[in-house]
Amino acid sequence: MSDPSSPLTGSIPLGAVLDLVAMQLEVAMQHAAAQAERLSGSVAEFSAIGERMRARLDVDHDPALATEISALEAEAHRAMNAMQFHDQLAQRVRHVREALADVHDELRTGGNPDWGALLSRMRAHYTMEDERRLFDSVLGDLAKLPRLPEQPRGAVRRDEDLMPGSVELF
Amino acid sequence: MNRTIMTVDDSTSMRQMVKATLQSAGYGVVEAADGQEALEYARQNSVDLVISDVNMPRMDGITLVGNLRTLPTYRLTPLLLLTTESSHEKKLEGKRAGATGWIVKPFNPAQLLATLQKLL
Repeated sequence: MSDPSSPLTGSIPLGAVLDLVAMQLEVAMQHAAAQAERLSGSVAEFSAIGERMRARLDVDHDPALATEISALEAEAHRAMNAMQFHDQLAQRVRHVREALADVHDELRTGGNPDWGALLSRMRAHYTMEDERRLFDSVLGDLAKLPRLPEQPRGAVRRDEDLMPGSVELF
Repeated sequence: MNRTIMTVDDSTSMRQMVKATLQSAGYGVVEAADGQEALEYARQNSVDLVISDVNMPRMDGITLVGNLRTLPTYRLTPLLLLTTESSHEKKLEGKRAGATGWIVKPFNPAQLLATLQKLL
């Protein structure tokens, strides 16, 4: 229950709340970045150890060890793939922070917010298709912006050249 | 001959992953944290291939590609963009700037190495 003597009664300093949320996100990401760098450094070292072991290996003499080294290298490659989650996470959080900053700036003007322009700016921050899809599903009707086409469950994607991991040479 | 590849990304962990992948295949690796740093290096040195992120502070990857293509040394160098960016418009922008290819993160190390083999 709120304290009736609180200076906040009846109003919420929304700008300050948005600032706080943005700061909390920033601190969390700084902590995560340090750990992610440590982890990715370890994964890179596992890969390098595998390479050094293979260079010294006599495959004919020790085929079992050769199999183990191959397994180590394959595992290091899988870990390298998975470790890229941090880069994506950092970008997603940055886009959220940018969207919060847009809302904050709009509120600071004090006038009637131009919600259409604000939503358009928010959507423009997103670089990943699933970010845009989520925005469209939640705010697409309000934003009145061109939306990504609906994707029925189990549908085969036609734009496979933009799927994670895809490679296209021009 | 030992080939040298420049990896450009503002994420340290991404650079580490790309570097480890490339070194495991015997490539030499040069790192840059954004397009500006990469361009400054490229003005003084040549590399055999560039792998660059798109969204970076100071200079983005598409601007970097455009600038590299103006340098005589980099006119024919393969320039790959490695990005989370999934809009066709951005990809087209990269192609128009002179990029050789577009890879969507997260990259698969074996697939990346196979792509490099085709280009080098």
